[in-house]
Amino acid sequence: MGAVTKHWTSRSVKDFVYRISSDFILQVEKKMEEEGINQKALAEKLGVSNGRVSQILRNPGNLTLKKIVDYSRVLGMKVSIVAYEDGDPQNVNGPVNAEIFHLCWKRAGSPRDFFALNNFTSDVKPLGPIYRIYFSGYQNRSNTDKDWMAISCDPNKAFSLSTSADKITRAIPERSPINA
Amino acid sequence: MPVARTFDFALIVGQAVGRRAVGFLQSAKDPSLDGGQKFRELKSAREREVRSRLDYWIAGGTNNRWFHGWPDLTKYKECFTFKWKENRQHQRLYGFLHHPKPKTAPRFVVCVLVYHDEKNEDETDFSILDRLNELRKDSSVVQAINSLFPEERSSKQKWVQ
Repeated sequence: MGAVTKHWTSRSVKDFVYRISSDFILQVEKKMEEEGINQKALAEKLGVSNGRVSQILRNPGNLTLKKIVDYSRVLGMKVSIVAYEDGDPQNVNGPVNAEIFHLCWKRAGSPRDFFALNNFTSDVKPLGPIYRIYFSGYQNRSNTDKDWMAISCDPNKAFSLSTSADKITRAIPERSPINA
Repeated sequence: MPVARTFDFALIVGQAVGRRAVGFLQSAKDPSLDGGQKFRELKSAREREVRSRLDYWIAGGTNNRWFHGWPDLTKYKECFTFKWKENRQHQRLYGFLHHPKPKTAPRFVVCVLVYHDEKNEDETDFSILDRLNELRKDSSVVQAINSLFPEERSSKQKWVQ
C-alpha cells in the first residue's frame, strides 16, 4: 500500500486545530438536532448574530476556548480538554474523534470522579452493546439436547436479567452467527 | 472504435487507513473522472473541511449531512457520496464502496471516489450512479484498486502447494 504517510493534521497546527474544532462542532450540531434548536435560536442564546454562528459552524478553525465553552454551556453541555497517548506519536492516523472519548465515558457509567471510575472498573467489564446472551444449565428445561440457550437482545436498550439457570456463559458484543 | 481506458487508483495522501480507506480513481484518457482533480484544487479551509469529513467516515462515524450511500436502493447500494457546500452551492464527490480483500480482510472497505458534481436540487442524479455502477463492475477498475491491496497469504498457505 506504499509508504506510510503522516495524517494531514501533521502539516500544521492550524490543520490539527481545524480537525479537533470540527469534531467539537459536530457534537454541537448533533446536540442542536437532539434538542430541536436551530441556528437562529442558538445565536439568540449566545447573544450574537445568526451570521456569526453560521460562520463558526461552517469554518470552525477560528474557534477559541472561550467560544467552545460558550457554545457548550448554552446547549447544557460541558467541555473537557483531553490529552492522550494513542501509540501514534508520528500522527499517522490523526486525532481520535471527540465523540469516541464521550462514548467511552458514557459506557464507563459517566463517572464524575475517580472513586466512581474505580468502582466501575473493578465491578464491571464494559462489553459494548450486547446482541446475545448464552445461558448454561438449561438442559432440564428445554426439549433439545443442548445444555445452553441463547437469548437475543436489543443492543440499543438497557435491560435487567433474572434467571434460575446456573450461569451466564457468554455475552456476545457483536452480531455473529450462533454456533450450535 | 472507442479508445480503451486505463485506470489508476491512489489513496488520498494524509488520510488514515484503518477499517476503511479513501482514494481516487482516475484515467488519463477520461477527464470526466474528475473527483481527484477537484479535491486537489480545493482551497485550504475547504480542503480541511472535506478531509475532516473523510476522517469521520474512515473512523466509522455516520452523518448524513456529510456523506451517505443509498443502502435502501439495491441497484445503488454500493454507491457513495461525500458532501460539502462552497459558495452557496452543494458539492458532491461521488464514488463507490469496494471490498478489495474479501479473503483476508472481508470487512475492510475502500471508498473509491470518482466524480465531482455541483448541484442545487435535492434529487439524486441517478445517471451518475449508473456510471459508477458501470465502473465498479469494470475488471480493469477492480484490478487497479485491488493491486493496491494484495491479499496477504498466511504462513500456512505459503507452504502448502
